[in-house]
Amino acid sequence: MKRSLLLAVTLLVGTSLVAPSASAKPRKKGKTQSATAFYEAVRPTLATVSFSQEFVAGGSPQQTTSSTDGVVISPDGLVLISGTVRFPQSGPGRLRGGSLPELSSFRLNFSDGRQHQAEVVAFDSDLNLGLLRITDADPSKPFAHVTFADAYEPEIGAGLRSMTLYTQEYGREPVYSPLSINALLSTPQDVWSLAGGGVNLLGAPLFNGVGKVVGVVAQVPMSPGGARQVTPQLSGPVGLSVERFASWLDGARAQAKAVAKAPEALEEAGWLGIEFQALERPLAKHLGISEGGGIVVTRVISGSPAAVGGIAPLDILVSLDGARIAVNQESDLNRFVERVRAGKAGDVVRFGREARSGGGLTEVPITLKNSPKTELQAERRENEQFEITVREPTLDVLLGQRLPPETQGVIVDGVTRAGWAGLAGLGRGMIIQRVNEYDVTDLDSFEAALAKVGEDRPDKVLFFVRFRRDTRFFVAEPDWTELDEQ
Amino acid sequence: MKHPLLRALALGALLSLGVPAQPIEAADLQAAILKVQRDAQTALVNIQPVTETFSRGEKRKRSSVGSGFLVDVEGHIVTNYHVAGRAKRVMVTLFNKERVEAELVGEDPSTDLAVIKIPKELVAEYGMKPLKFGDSDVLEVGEFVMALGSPLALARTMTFGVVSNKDRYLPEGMSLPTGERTGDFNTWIQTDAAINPGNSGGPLLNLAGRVIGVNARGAMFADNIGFAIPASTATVVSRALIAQGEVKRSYAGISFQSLQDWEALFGLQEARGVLVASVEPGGPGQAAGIEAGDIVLSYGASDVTARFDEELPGVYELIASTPIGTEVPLRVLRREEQIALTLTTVATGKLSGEEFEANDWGFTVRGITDQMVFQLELEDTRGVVVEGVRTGGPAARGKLRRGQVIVMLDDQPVADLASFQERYEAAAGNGKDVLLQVIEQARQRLVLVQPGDSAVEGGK
Repeated sequence: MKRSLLLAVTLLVGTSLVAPSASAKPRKKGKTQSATAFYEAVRPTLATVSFSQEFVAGGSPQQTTSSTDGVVISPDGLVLISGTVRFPQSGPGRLRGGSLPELSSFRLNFSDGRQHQAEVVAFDSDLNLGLLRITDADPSKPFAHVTFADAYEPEIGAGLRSMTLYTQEYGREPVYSPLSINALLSTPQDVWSLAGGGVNLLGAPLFNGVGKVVGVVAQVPMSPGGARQVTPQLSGPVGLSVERFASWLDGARAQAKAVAKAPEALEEAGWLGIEFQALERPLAKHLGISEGGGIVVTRVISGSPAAVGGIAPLDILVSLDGARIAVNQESDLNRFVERVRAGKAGDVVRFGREARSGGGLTEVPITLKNSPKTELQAERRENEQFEITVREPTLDVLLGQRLPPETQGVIVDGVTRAGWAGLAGLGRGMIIQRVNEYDVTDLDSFEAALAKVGEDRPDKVLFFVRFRRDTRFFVAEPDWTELDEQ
Repeated sequence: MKHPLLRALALGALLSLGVPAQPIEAADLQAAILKVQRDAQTALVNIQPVTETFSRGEKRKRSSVGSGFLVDVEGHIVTNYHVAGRAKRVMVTLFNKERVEAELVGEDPSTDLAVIKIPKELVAEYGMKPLKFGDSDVLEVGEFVMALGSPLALARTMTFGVVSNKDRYLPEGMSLPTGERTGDFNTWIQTDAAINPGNSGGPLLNLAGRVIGVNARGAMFADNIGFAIPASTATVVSRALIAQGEVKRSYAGISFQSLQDWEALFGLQEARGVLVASVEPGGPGQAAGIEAGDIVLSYGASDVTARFDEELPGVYELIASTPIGTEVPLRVLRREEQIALTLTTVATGKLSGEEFEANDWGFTVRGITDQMVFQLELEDTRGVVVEGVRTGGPAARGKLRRGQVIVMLDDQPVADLASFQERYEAAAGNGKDVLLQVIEQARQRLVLVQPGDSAVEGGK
């Protein structure tokens, strides 16, 4: 799998790899916790989090209510949830086709009947994690909370546990029953794998044998072909490495202290602006590159920090801040991505670039920038007369259409098929660059153009549209009398 | 209409409407059909080409069945490009069930037509009578037509129907199974005479026994919606193929839209001219200074107008039929102002390049033509494009993918298919690793192909 730093823009604010709520003491081999003790310890920390979300999909605003698992991680009421709640339409990894939902009205239901309100502190769309803070806590009553393991020592076959609240509707009041799950660590990668459980487990904490949190269920793989396929028995939920998890959490907690409510702040991220492939061992050997791994740069986005710093396509990068980039196969690419994400805008990172056939190492310093917005984060505007929603152009979409980053206009996010814009033939992904005689460069000029058109009420409205290398005209024939009838 | 009585009444109404004012004698029609069949039968052939296809990274042989018809006493047979084009060997079954080998004379993917030839001596010996093209421009919807051919390989099949539409416009961007863009230069005759796979290349005849179209396509999941290339196109193209083996066309790198009733939006008093929708970067249109939104009012000495989509193929044909390299004066309306521009057309050239199998390395490639540069969004014709990668082969293990363009091989540039072929042939069999530098969607990647491990492939 190719990883693109361009698209994977979220960044951990914290840079520390020390796990929260855990001392730096060397880990003692604790006594394996009994199933009953595990149940009693974890049960009061788990809540079902219900909330409502508003988002734009296919150009129209939608509202849904959902719920997910949350687990209390601090005595003052910080609650960890799965970030999947932000992608109600498409799921992680397939984020096209909708805006980031606005989440509101968080309510927590604990299995012992306690209820609380909460607000969003942070979300990370890439790690697929969110952090809430309980707003109606009684400071005199600290929350029961889980604690984190302080090291990542994956061992295949090691026992893991998880717990989720199973919601049963008896009469009017739902009952939240804790459901304890046992599993084994199945892969040596930065993932935990356990059998069964399915999507209900998203957001549920994963515990090691001594009852410390080692991960959170962040993704549930589907078999190829999509959601209609049955999840294979042995794939099951996948968690995150403790390092990655902890460093995000560090940042999120810092965020919680600093700002009352700024969920988007965490979406700002350091950005390098390259795409790359793994330097696989046979390739490295053939090219005469030293052993230990690295990446081959496949693309450098013009104007990006990497371009400014002088990185070029086909450069071979073997170290980052003095440490080897140990990427020997595609599945190692995540590790490199994580390391880059540990930086933030303004940080200077130093790459080691190795020339082929023993040509030596050059140091390339790069100053990270904030990552550009993605389609998901793009600002959207709706025009009710033409029944069209547009969004600002984002780099990911422009590069996907192989257009220059400076391309101006607005991107059609969705139209009502039988609306004025829909009947004209406008469709998703097209870039509107002119409306009648008015140039459209951004959302404001688009709105202004349609406002003028709305005053003039012409029989026909001409849209000049770009899609990839092609351009085309579309003509809407508004029925202005519809507006007068309303 | 649930009531049976109501249903019966409705049926009766339909029947009574169906009675024509002046009844045609059924016998007359039958006689006419039989005459067409008897006159045409000796010209009809069943074509069994063997083509080389390059799929999934391997060269394979493929056989298929199509139709064709004799057009002259020299032995020339018109058929579809998608039947006989690129054929390595063409066997033909004649009306008298004799099988002969034919040679490929010329092919034109842009109109999906091809011409093959059988020995002229056989035409005389078997008394084969060539078919004549009719005038497809004077067709009327409702005219009786007959399709002859080999649907589903059932040779010498006749089907019967009417002209359902005489200038059907099928949207731009249709492509042939071999990938070439087709259908830009003609509208289609739509008929309800049954057209099935295998009818391709067969004639669509009117009651006078003239060929008014070459059957080429059918609508999938539909009943009796077939399409034929009109005789007006087939006549010109087959003549060119017989005379010079190819159709030379001029290219302007401009795509047009019909003007509809949008004239006022472009500052015109009346609806005339054709709207420029898009101008290919680096193409002749751009060099001439043409911009999207221009209205082309005249092309050389001819006024052009395309108010409706059905008129667009005529505009493209007008440009294509200009001798290559002609400086064509254009009158263009831009923002209510008339300007004069000069377009110098270039040769369209081949729609797609030849293919080649690098068997040792486990993939096939195709040469890049000028037309492919725009279609595949490439920078230039440098390199070769990967057509297919054999599953489990050395290239597949090195993660070479279809669509990637190989620009360097062991750090030496690959200019074109010939240079790739030369490098492959020099290296084939030596078992050495090969480093490819490829371009994929503006990304540059390195691919190491290790043919030495090919012992692993396929097991024991």
